[in-house]
Amino acid sequence: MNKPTKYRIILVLTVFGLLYGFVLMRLFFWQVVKAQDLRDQSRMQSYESLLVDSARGEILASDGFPLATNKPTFLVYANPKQISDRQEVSDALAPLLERDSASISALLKQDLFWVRLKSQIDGETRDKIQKLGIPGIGFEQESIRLYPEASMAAHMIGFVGKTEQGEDKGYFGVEGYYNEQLKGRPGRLYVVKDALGNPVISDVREEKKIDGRTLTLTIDRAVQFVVDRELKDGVQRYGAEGGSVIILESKTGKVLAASSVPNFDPQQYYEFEPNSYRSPLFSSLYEPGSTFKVLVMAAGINEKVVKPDTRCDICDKAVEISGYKIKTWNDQYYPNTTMTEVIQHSDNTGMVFVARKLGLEKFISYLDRFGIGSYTGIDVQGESSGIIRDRNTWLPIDLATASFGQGISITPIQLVTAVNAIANEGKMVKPHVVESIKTEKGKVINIETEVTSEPITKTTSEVMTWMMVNSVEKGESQWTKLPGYRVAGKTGTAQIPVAGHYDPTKTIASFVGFFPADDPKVTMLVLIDRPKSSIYGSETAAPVFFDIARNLVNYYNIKPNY
Amino acid sequence: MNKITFDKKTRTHKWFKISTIKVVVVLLILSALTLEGVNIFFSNRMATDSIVASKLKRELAVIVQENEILQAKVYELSSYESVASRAAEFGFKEPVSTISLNTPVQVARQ
Repeated sequence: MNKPTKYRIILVLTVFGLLYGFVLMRLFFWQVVKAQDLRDQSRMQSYESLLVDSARGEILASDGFPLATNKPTFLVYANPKQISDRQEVSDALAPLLERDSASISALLKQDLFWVRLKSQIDGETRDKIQKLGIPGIGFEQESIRLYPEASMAAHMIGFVGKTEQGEDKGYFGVEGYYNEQLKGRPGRLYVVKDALGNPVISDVREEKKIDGRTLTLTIDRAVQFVVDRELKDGVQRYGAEGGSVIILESKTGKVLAASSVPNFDPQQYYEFEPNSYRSPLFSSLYEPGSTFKVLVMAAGINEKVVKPDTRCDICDKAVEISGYKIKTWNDQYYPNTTMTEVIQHSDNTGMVFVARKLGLEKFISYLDRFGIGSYTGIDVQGESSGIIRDRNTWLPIDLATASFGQGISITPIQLVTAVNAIANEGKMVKPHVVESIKTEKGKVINIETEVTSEPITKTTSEVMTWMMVNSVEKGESQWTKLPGYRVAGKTGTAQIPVAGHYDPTKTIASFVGFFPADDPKVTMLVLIDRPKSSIYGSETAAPVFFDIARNLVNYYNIKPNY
Repeated sequence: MNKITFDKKTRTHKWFKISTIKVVVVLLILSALTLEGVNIFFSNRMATDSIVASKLKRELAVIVQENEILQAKVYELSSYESVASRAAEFGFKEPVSTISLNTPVQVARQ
């Protein structure tokens, strides 16, 4: 082989080699580097992806009636290019869409193929628009959250609002607490398209939607209705700024009803002050006043430092501690009074006697046992726990005032849960709102009653029940009691701390109790916020308590005790 | 090279083999034609079925939608709030007092 031939062969091989290398590089570029982009482009050209919304789970009352459900609504849109007489169409649609004709006309003037005229119109309005037979007008189905009972149990249910991304999200109450279970998971529908973009095969669902789970609440609609009505009447009657009622089933801790005034309508939550969304029953701390005495007395009896007939040797006058004078609420004193009478008269000096017998260590220990300063674990969003101060910061005056419910902050749900332990043979049960959860596959998960602790013995609970019955029969609220029924209860008139002192004219009047005392069915707490007609619990909260109790003994067919 | 023998038995056998192949071929052709016919028949039938099915599916969607709308309306009208306000319009009142009978009452006799 001569030299030129050899060079020629080398040249040709080199050129082919370079070309081959170039092809390999391009193949690597398209198949490896740009693979994902091409895959996406291919998917975009051949598939159309549609989001399939999942239906949000319903929230049912204990009788199966929906307290929150979904209602189909419609979005009205127009294709301006198909509308010939803009003014005529605008005038026809204006009264049905409740918009002025000019604004509709302005929308139809746009050089677009699709404009939204109005969303969330109901089926009747859609039918009326359809009957007009206007070409270029269409509808898309939407869904809104419907609360058929309006503001009933609104604080327990919460509402559905939007996130910053425009997605539905539950806020407050059960809607907020169980949002993940209620919302489900949206699906995705991939529709195959031909070269011109027309759909070839429909309904090729690759990711199935999962509808939200249905929650059945422990809320009894009839009881809730009565509570709402009586509380509203009570707040109005006593010129109060607000009020709250919560009723637990004594043995299980199921919340049968919970109501607060002022309230809000979850359907139109945006028209109410955001402060009104939080339930004072779970989120607000207050000084419980005399209703707290039953817990301190229960601690004293449980520790055997006092008995119902133990006589108080400091109750003949105001008690002086560190320069402060502890008086009774009416400045009346009962020398050598028994512990039963201390609860009956709501005697502050008698409670100081009990607290001293208990001592700070045991006092704080019982606060902890009764769940004061801890979350009750109720399944609604926004529960507060409050804080019990560090043991080292307690002064003798703090122990004295805390014994009758001042200088200590708790939530109403903590108080009613703790008092419920007295009704429930000394067992604390976790309060809960959801009775069962039904999955998308129809499986029902029941929420079982959970006994969290046993702060007092059964004997102590029986003694305390008897003392509370005596308090109702002979105490300040006896005028309003339920004839024929033994009700265990205690009034409370909590002062409101304002700028370092207590406002003498503003109180939170309360009444906590359970009935029938022999075999408690319900435990109830009534709070009346800043009543004007009377500051006392016995004259405001107690009548509301017994008005509700009167309805409940009929509803549950509870026979009279005597 | 092997010599082919045409004894009676072999000839019969060969004839039998040839005729079997013919029959199989004919049967296969017939089967193919039958299957194609069945295919065409069912394809045509299913093609029209799918149109009917689509129509039924659309009708079902409308009925489901109407049902949901009516259901929501029933819920709104049968809520306690709604019933109570309607009852008040009709003049119904809440009982103001309750009487508890602790002992059986003698039934009035005519």
